[in-house]
Amino acid sequence: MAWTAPITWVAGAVPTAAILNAQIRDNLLETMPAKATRDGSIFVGNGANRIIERFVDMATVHVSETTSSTSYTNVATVGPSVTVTTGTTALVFHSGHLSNNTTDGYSYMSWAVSGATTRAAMDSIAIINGAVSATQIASGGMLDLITTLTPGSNTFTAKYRVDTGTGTFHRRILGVIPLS
Amino acid sequence: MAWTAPMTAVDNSTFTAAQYNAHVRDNLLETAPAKATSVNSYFIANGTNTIVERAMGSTVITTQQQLTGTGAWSDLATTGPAVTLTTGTTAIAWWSVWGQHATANQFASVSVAVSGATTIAADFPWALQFDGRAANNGVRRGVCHMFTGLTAGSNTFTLKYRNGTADFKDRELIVMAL
Repeated sequence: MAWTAPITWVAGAVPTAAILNAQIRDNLLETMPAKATRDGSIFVGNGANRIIERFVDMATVHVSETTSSTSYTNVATVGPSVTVTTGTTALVFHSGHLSNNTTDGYSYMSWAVSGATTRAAMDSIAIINGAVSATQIASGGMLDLITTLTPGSNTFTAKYRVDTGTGTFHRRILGVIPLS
Repeated sequence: MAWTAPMTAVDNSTFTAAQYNAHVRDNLLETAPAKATSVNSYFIANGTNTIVERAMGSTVITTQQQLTGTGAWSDLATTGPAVTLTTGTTAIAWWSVWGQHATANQFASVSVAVSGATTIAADFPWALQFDGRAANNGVRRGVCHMFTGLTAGSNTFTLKYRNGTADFKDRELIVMAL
């Protein structure tokens, strides 16, 4: 049942069952304790007078793998990948250790969205490491707010590429905090 | 008092004090406004029909200090930064550090250890690493990690350092308790 704006009582008014059910029962059912189902979930606004429970998730792949692809692709172990139910907005964080076997070669770790939303990986949200020396490892992370998701089940998957040479990617982390 | 599934009122029935207290007073006491105690807190579920107030914490140590030649996770002259929060089983940590190594093409690492209700040693899978640069060529980087499987309670998150002779400054740690 939806939220009903609390009425202002006047002396002598009769609180009928229908009024009590709408004002007390149904409004209480719209509050966080009524909707809480699991430890560690968060609550976000989901429209006027509505809140919804969301779940934060993270995945890791701690295997060192390579690619020589100059367009975003998977490495041998796809991911890390996280599937969460979102509204239009989510905070996405990812990090990894990147290197390249070619001096001044760049390695990129970005992420793509599939499911309710289709969005390709892109450089503007990528961790980028330029190899000062061949096989130099640099770790780093990015935090991005995406506001153009299609509500529903969305899968966020790390993707990789290089501009030259062979990139190596290790200790890969990706997490999502749904904010709507 | 715990949450009680709100009753359905029926016309002409008697609404007792016990019912009012259970279904109105005690349930309202389980909502966010009743539990809010401070500015900038937020609320998360703590199980079925229960919510709890949580907070984020952050600490910065700007002073440049040097780690000298240890192969074990260590503290700098000023330990930390460290953040102590009450958490459930999960927390998200973000940290960023400026670092430089005294030797070209060597790497130094910055990770997070957890103490208090939970004990998790700093480790490489979630470490920030500085590697392969010219000697004394500093760079500032950041990483994030979500700790799961924590023991609920007061947990302290502390930056730890290792590998070689390296300088660190502008060390920032932010933790979000879930």
